Amino acid sequence: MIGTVSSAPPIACRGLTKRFGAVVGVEDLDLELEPGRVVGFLGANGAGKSTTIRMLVGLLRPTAGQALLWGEPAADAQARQRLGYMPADPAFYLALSGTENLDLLAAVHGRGSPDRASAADLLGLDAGALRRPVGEYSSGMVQKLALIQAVQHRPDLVILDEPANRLDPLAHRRFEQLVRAIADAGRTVFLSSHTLSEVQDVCDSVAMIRAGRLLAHRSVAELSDLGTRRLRAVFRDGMTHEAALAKGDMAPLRELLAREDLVDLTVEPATLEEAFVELYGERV
Amino acid sequence: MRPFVVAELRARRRMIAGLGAGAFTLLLIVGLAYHSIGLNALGPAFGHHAPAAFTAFSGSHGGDILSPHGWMGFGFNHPMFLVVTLAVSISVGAGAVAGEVDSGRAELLFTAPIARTRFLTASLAVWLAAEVAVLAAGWAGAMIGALFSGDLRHAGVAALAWAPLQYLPLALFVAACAFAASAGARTHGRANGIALGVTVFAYLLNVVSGLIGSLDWLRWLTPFGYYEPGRAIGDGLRIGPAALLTGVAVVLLVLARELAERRDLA
Repeated sequence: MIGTVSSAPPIACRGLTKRFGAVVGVEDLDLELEPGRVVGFLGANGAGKSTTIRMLVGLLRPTAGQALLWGEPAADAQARQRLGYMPADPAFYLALSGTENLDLLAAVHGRGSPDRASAADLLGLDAGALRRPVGEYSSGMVQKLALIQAVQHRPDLVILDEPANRLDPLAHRRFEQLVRAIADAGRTVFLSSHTLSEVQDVCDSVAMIRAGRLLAHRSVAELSDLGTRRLRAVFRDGMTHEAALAKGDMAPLRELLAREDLVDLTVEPATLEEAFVELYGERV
Repeated sequence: MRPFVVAELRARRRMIAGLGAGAFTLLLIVGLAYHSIGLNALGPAFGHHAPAAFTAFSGSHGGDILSPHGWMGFGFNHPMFLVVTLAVSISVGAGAVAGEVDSGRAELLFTAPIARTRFLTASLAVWLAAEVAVLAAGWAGAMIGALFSGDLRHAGVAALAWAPLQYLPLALFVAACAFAASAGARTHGRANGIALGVTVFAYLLNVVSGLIGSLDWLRWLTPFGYYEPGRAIGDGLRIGPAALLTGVAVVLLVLARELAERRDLA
């Protein structure tokens, strides 16, 4: 069954809509992901990220349109066979150990746990910690356990909702390594995040959503180009000058370079954060 | 789904142990009390007919609470016994869908490639295992109590097993109500409230039907009216009422399945 739909995109949303009574969660969303890519999903609070993700993992039923995994409706259990999912607020059986929780979730997925040890090792959740009841875990450890359960069965598509929220900086770096390793193996990662630097570092492309509608789906490089670069000049008398440098507008740069008292000049590259703010601002 | 069943039972093991201990102690006391308060001697005092209130609370409309079987039937219909055993039905049933959503575990469990119906079936297995454990503990208490009570022992201790067996369809009915409430309600609290409200109302309806002769017909409108532990102990398992309760429970479980398949789980 799965083999017959392998040529379909891992994720496809077609006119996807979700309303909660009068409140619109997601409106007519069209989105398609290529396999083997890491795609970030950005949006402000309440933009519809988690609602979209919950339709893609079969928790929410669309009001209209389709949420498809490899061409099959996500609501069908069969479609979720190659899916790994980490919710924004993961909850486990508190009385069971980390290992017992992982065993349970591996069993319900029915694909074993070939990548559990490597993921646990990478994220720094050792065997001793995994033997303890989850009720004794810190929030960061719960987050790591949730990441491990999402990838332990080597899914072809990993959907992560705010995955790095409670991770310390070291674990954060390891998380990024984990995501890149998954993509390097030809599998797909779709992650929502508020941390734009994380998305810029780890994602190949970014889908932006605002008020339930897709604003853009472009590569990180393309989006970054939309942002303005920061220009900082230092003059002989110690004065500094800062300015924004939009793409295609070199006039401010030429003016500064023409000055004889210029002693230092730095141009900071455009960031995804600026692109995000500008893109969001344009539509306000 | 075995790992899921095991995990759910482990998560509820303290509750099951506590309710089992409660059922055991209550029915042990009921068994021992028959001899100590000399109920067999009260028959003549009441003209061999117990007051209607006694009979109503015994749950046996046609039975006699003063007889050994009627007295043990009273034990198996004591409000505390019902609270202890139906707590299993309501807890597991109401937790099956709405409880998992409230706890957040639904986001991990229900996104696995397993149909929601299978989770409901597994939860039903959890209920059955927990309910049987609590009923077995109660039955053990009743057996021990009866063995130490001469009149009850002579009336036949083995027949006490019919009471918990007759009780299972009633417990299934309440569990099915709780499953349906859980599948339809947005929150665990609301599911608990609906299941508890229906159960208490149905119980009171049965008590009223026993207290007021002209309202006797009301008992056919409540599941408790089809559960007569005293008669089960005296005459054996009554298939008709058990089959009826089981049939209605199956309908409620099908409703629960339909509601669970269609609802949002977040």
